[in-house]
Amino acid sequence: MGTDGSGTMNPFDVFLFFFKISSMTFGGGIAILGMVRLEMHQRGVLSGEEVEEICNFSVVMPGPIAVSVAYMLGRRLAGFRGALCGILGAALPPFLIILLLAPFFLRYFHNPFVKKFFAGVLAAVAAMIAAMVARSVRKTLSLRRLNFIAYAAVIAMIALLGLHPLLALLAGFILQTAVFAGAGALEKNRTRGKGE
Amino acid sequence: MFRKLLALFLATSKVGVAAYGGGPSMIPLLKVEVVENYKWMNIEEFTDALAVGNALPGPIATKMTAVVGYKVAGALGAAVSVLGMILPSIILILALLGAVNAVKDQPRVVSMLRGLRPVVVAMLAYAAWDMIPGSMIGAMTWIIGCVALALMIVTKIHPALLIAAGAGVGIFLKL
Repeated sequence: MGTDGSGTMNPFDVFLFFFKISSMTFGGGIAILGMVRLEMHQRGVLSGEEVEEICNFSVVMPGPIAVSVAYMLGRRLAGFRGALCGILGAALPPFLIILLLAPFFLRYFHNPFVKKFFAGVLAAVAAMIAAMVARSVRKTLSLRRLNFIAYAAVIAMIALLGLHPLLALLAGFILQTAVFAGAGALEKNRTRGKGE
Repeated sequence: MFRKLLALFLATSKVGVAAYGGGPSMIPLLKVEVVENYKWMNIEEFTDALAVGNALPGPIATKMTAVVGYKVAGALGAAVSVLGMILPSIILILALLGAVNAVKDQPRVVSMLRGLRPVVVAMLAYAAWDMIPGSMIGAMTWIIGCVALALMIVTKIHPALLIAAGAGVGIFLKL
């Protein structure tokens, strides 16, 4: 990932791809990642593993998730111009939506009809995010059982200790590296023990 | 006017660079700048803006900054705020990816980067856990949510359809 594009899509297609996802996806960055996975899977231009890797990276990069994923996927699919087109596609819809609708919304948001409409939208969005996150959690934990240690530690650090997400991220990453280095050393010792 | 725009740019870029894990982690940071430091909005206005941001499609961080910018300095303010949110993070991403690419073909680095996965998933899980109760107002919305969740797990219906259905059912709710 991150290497310059292999020309699998042209920059304008990348723009349209992100413009469409950004203007139609409710629920912010996490939901957008879900849509990116779904749409990329349907197009089949990149392997699922590669899309997964890009999506994971976009979460740990600074700034909005949608912008990070647009940058990285755009670059992978269509080079640097693809990256810029991706960002434009991701950022333009929220900007336009606010310009066009904010005056209207700030006035009518307390209208019961509008409120109920969005209550329904938000409930379905929450369900979608729950389903997506649960899927990633299950996949990650079943991949390697030891992953659970870093997973649980990061949640505890953010939820119980109130650590800044960036610190929790660094601590979790160090912990994960240490756990696997330790497991690797144990494994090596055991096989060496058998050999002698 | 120029001063206002500069302040908007500085405030949003500060939030953009410091926010990891997307919308949920940037909202408290944005609140500090908008409500406490610059006093562009009071807390009720900020909460309303957040509700609007949540209800409309698209990335939440970008929408929220656009709302704030629009309130402070109109369309130009919205443009400057969105730019402030995006530009510094793009520069940082460029630098970070450059550094990662330089070492990424060494096997040890590859396996370390794979190690990011449980950490990232944990951050997402916490963000979702934190966000979901706030999206539910009343028992009926929990029912809509649970039915949508069941449908999503059992069937392959496109999420957009379920959201449209949620909105359709929502209109007939008693809140």
